[in-house]
Amino acid sequence: MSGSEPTTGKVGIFLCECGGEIAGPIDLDRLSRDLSALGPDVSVQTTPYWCSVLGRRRLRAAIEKEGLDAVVVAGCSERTHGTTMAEAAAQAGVNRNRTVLVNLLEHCAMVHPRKKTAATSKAARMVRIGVAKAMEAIPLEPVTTEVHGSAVVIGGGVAGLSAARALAARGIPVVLVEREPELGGILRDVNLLFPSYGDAARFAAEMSDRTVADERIDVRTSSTVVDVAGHAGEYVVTVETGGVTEDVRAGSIVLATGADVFVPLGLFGYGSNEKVVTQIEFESVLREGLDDARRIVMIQCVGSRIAERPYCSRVCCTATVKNTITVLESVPDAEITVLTRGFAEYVGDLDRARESGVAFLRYDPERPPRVEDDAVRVFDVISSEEVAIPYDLVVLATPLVARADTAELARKLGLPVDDQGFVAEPHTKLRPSTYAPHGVFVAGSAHWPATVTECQSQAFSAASRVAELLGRGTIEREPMIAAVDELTCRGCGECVEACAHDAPRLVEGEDGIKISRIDALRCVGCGVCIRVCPSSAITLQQFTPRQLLDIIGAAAEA
Amino acid sequence: MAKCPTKVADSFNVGLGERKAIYLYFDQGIPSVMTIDEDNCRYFATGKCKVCEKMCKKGAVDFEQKDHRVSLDVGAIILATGLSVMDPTPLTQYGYGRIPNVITGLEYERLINATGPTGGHLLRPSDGELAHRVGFVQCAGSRDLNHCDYCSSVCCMYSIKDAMLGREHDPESVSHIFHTDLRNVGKWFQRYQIRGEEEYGIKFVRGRIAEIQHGPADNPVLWYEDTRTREVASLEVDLVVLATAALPSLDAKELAGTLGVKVDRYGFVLTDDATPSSTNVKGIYACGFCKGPCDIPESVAQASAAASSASTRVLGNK
Ligand SMILES: Cc1cc2nc3c(=O)[nH]c(=O)nc-3n(C[C@H](O)[C@H](O)[C@H](O)COP(=O)(O)OP(=O)(O)OC[C@H]3O[C@@H](n4cnc5c(N)ncnc54)[C@H](O)[C@@H]3O)c2cc1C
Ligand SMILES: Cc1cc2nc3c(=O)[nH]c(=O)nc-3n(C[C@H](O)[C@H](O)[C@H](O)COP(=O)(O)OP(=O)(O)OC[C@H]3O[C@@H](n4cnc5c(N)ncnc54)[C@H](O)[C@@H]3O)c2cc1C
Ligand code: SF4
Ligand code: SF4
Repeated sequence: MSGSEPTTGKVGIFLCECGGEIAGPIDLDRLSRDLSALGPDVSVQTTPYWCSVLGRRRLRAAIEKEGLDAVVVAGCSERTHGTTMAEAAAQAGVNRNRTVLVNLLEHCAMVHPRKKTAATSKAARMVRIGVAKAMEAIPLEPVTTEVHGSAVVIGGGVAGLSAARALAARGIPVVLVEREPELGGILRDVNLLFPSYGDAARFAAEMSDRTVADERIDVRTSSTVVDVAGHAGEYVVTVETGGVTEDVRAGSIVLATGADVFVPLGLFGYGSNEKVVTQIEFESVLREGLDDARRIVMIQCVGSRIAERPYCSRVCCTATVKNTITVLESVPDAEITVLTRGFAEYVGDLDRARESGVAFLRYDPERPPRVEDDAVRVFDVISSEEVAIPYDLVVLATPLVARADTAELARKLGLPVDDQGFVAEPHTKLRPSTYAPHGVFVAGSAHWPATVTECQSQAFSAASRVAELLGRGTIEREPMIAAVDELTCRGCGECVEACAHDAPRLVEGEDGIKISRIDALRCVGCGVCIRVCPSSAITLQQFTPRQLLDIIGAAAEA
Repeated sequence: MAKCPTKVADSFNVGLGERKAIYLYFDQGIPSVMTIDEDNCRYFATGKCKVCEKMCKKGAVDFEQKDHRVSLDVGAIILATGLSVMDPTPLTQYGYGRIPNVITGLEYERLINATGPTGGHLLRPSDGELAHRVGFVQCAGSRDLNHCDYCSSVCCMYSIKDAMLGREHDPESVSHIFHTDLRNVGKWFQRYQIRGEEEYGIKFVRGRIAEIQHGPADNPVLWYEDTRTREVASLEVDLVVLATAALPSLDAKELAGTLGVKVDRYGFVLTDDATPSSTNVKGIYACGFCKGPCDIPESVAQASAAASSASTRVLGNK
């Protein structure tokens, strides 16, 4: 266990009026009296706003004058003011981990606005819990690391290329790792690009050429990442090219491995009927020039928006609408019918396609279309009729699906993936573009099916976050982490298996036996490993068992 | 603020509540500083009052302050002027303004918000009673050739969110969402919709509302054709929420004109495929809703992208 044993000493309780927000619903005078009775090692004081400049000055003065070892600020939330208050207390010598916030505002005053007596008793109990937590807290120091000034980008599709170029433009050296012999990703197989109807492959080729020509970008094609060690600021990425491996150091990593286009084997005759192709194959057909196929039936949502894959892949409807317009521009007498389940994705050119003569029919997923030898038969929901549409070609719009090996790679990076295999962020709405490991960012369809413009926005966004991180020189993190007691650990590796962030790794200890060691900069402090460890060798530094027992004791006390 | 004698409609709460002539924009507004509304302040109108000046112990109230113009010399500009919502009054079939219990999505957001004018209770405008039966009308003005022929992109999801919040605040709440094509394409949006249906009892009805009538007890009555069953049906509810089209901000075109930035026919700033943050004017970038409908995560990604492009330029690498 790291850190010394807690020094139970003097604790200061700082009650905050929060203007009148707390002082109104809670009787702070009574609270103060009750808490003072806790003992001689406890001092209590009240101020309108502890978070104000004046309040913090008073806090520091009180710590120094009374020689406090721990601080409990009973005011608002840890999330909004935890750092501010801990920093103020630290300036006067109280360890950051020994400053505890008790959220009287949101957890008591605001929820019990009209029950002063009960609210005051509850507040007293809450503060006593805070005191227990603070008194038993291990003094911890922030974990710091030097930052290596370069970046690795994994995947050379439009997202990876954009990220690499944006980083290089800021003077950051980049190693770009692409598995295929060529850069460009999916776009190499796309004909025209919506919304501009420019040449997609040329767009990808130009971008690739500029990337290769940029001397700040070291492009490694036909290469894969076999391992990622280290943490934000100093990663070691093992890159394999033609059987040869090399360790590349980097301060930060951008994952841009894209997605696969789903192959609908066995659906709607795909694989057995040669007149059935996928939309991405149709892109190549269009590039070559449509031969004599005139009657084209397109089927949407093939393999998407179903129980197994409950999502809309967005780009397939875009591709379909774009391709109907592309066909009709060159072959105005083509007859195109699109069978949809309703457009979840809205495509700006839908009306243009309709005006050009494309027929849109709606099918019911319970009664899907049948591709027979002579015609596609479908029950049209709008007219409530079964219709037969003769065809020369059937085009299936299949979704983007997560690449199987991205999940494995994500694991090495300490990035969780969701049940569909897309990379998951801690909160899609509140913390977009932010990921659990501090040095890893994600762009493009590896995160979720994305259009080219979205891939680029995300790539630029990732690049600006990488640049911000690398620009810091050193990084510091709160030590809210798990640590292994090396004497108790038996090296079974259960924690290594359990951790979604790849923080624990088995290493050889001093006497040659295997033990687990947790990388403090990878650990997010979730505690999953503690539960699986059969030897109880792991402790969460900011919540030791003793602390928890004391907290429970304080909570249970009458 | 408490002593100010003048009460006016609160624009932050889209006119649903009242505020004083000296006020804080909203509880979490930044900067958190009081402002005097010159148009409504008694002192500015009559030369008398100054109650607030007397009350303020810090002497912070200054009636002499004037607006002033500043010129800034900058290397880059980022446009992030966002959206405004369409006024649904011209959509006469929905009766907004005529039927008291027909409100907009933005108004609903304020009512259901704990810091809003009703403390988070869904009290309907006509009688202040709790609304249990709510009808959400999607595409009010959107995907409509006569108004906005594009999809506003965010309303389907916010209506689902709002219906879920309604149920969380009131277990008896039942929401019907009348939609065109339900737009649920973002990350895990479909799963969110399924949760809305299964856990929050939201009823999704595919069909456009033909008309809203003023029913008994000020209850709106929705008339629609259910496109699944092809039958004309009606539903009486306590409250109707119009998911009104989202437009560029009101002065977007004017601002674009001043800057020489190209906008599309709706007034959204144009950027091109290859450089999604850059406008046609060198050094001017754009992000968020002013470029076209997008939700918060996408706005945030675009914002970082614009910041990245702008800083690269300002730092002189380009
Ligand atoms: C039929 C179709 C038509 C489309 N049409 C349009 C359109 O008109 N407009 C539009 O905006 N969008 C369109 N899209 C969507 C768009 O093409 C993609 O979403 C976009 O190209 C994804 O870019 P990306 O960089 O995220 O991924 P990708 O293009 O998939 O690139 C990822 C790259 O990473 C590499 N890689 C993967 N795993 C590894 C690994 N482990 N190690 C190293 N390298 C790895 C891959 O080889 C690939 O080169 C279309 C998509 C389809 C399927
Ligand atoms: C009712 C409703 C509910 C929604 N709910 C959700 C939701 O739950 N989740 C979600 O992801 N998205 C939601 N959205 C969408 C979300 O509001 C937008 O994605 C987001 O606000 C866009 O951010 P923005 O910064 O581009 O624009 P805005 O938020 O509109 O900000 C633009 C800012 O620019 C200012 N401004 C405008 N013009 C000028 C000018 N000329 N000079 C100076 N300043 C100017 C405005 O005052 C404003 O402060 C909702 C939208 C609506 C209408
Ligand atoms: S607490 Fe354990 S499981 Fe969680 S991140 Fe740390 S090492 Fe991994
Ligand atoms: S998001 Fe939904 S409600 Fe809004 S315009 Fe699009 S389809 Fe209509």
